[in-house]
Amino acid sequence: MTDDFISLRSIRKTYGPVIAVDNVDLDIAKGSFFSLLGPSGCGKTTLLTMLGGLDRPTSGRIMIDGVDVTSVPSYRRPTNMVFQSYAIFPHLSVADNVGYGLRRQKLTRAEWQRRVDAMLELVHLEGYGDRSPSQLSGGQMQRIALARALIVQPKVLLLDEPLSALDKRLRQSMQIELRAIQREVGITFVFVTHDQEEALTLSDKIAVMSKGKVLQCCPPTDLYDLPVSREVAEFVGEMNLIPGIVEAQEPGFVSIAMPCFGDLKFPSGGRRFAKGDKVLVAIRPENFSIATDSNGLSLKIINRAYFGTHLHFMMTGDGLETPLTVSVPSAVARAHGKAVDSDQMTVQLVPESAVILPQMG
Amino acid sequence: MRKVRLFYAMIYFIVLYLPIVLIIAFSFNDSVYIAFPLKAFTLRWYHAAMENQQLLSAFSNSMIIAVTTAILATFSGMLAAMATTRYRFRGRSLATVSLFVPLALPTVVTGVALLSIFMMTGLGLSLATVILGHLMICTPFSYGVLVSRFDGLSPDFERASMDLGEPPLATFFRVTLPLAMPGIVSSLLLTFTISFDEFILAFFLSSNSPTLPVFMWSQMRFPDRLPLVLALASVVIIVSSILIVISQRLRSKQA
Repeated sequence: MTDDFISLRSIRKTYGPVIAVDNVDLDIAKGSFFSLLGPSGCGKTTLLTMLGGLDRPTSGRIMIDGVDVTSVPSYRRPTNMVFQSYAIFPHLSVADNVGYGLRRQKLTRAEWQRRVDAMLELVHLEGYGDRSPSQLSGGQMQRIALARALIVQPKVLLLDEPLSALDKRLRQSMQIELRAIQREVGITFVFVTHDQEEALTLSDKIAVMSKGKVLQCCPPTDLYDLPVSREVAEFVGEMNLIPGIVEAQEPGFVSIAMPCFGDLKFPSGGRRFAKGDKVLVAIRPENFSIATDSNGLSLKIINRAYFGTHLHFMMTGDGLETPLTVSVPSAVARAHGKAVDSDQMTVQLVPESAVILPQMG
Repeated sequence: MRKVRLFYAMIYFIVLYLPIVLIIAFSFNDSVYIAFPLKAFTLRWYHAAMENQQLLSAFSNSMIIAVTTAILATFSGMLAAMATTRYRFRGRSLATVSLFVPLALPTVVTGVALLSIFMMTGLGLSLATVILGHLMICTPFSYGVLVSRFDGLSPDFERASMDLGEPPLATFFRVTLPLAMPGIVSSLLLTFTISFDEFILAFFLSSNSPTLPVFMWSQMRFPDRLPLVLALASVVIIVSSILIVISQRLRSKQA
């Protein structure tokens, strides 16, 4: 598995004064499921269309499988795209849509039919070949778009928010299917989404983008557990950010004074801090524990919400600038019974699962 | 209030269609005079029209002009519509406006201007000069029909085709053209009708090979040929109406 099957070098794209993509460098491994995650307007779709050759970068270089494709037009690139709008040709039958890209291969009628049928089978739409696209549901259109792009056996499949138009249940089953198909065909998938949950579920690696820049590029677990900045921490999942001041640093650890939790020792995560630095202690809602002794911090419960598997609490207390979100598994909450039902609850944070971020902006 | 509105609508349609109904009625009237009461029913004006050599030659002139104009106007209208909907360029809105300007010019002015140019340059007058004149007034209509079609056509279809390996020209024939087809047929019918019925430019530019409307005009000098003109007019009215209805149907279907 080479890590630089696709490599983007200093990619910039500007539309007049607007910078859509700002100096992006990325490497994507062969056969991986790679996601570009970010809010709308962050440049992820522009990056994808440049990979597909439907847009040219203003500057920078794109290499796919060792070949510089920067100025190669889309119709000669080893990439295919699944459009957000699906773009299923309304004047062609389902089979003619799926077989659209095969024309240049000069296949016999029988061979053409065999390839189309095999693709329809892959996306579980056997026997739909003669139908008109207008008879298809959104989920079926999505599969046809996928089959049409995969039939030409691209080296890279580009997917532009392909699931965003589907309802939640269908989207979840399509996510599983998409991952299964990717494993089966072994093609490199580059997937654009604004849905962090979708990105975390599907990807081998995720690049988080904002304002045309890549903020962090790493596997999903690292993204969740070790965000590199406040922006990433807040975009992916829920995160409590507690301000604090660095007291001292020793190898691998950093001591931080917080107005509410007092002095605690955190893993430094390879970062260097100086005494007096203002930092943020980033901690996920599930990384708190309910304390039975007096070691924890007693906080006032201002809101509680039941999510089936979990209970969410919004809590305030002295020295807390913003309310703290604490998530407790329902079973644990039941075990604590009365403590959870009262107005006050004592919580402890787990320093090992916190990340210390520089306080900027 | 309801009655007033109904009354207004009825007056409107009567004023609009009564002359046409009268033309058709008198074309079947067995008399040279256009006067009530109607006499017996006859088809002899239609027979006479069928046997009139000048009329047949004018008809064939009109057909040649209208068919050529329809094809050329639709082709250039399509190119203009694709340019203004598919590309963002400096002066795009100016181009869009200038495409419609010929519609606002009085045809007489256009006619005089074209006549002067053709005489000045020594091109002379022929069917070709009528076609050029008609292109001026038909292209804006074609553009109008096609721009709405292309506006409603997502560029993603063309992008998808190119992404699947088809170069721009192949993409045009496999995707753009079939998807624009209802608009193209609608434009062909509309521009054909406009060119076929057009009088002023044809009058200025046709010289000794008159089109059907010019021929009809010339026949008005002979009172006894009036019923023959009426018969001809009836045929033109009916054929034009059918074409317009088909064209409208196609346009509403695409919406």
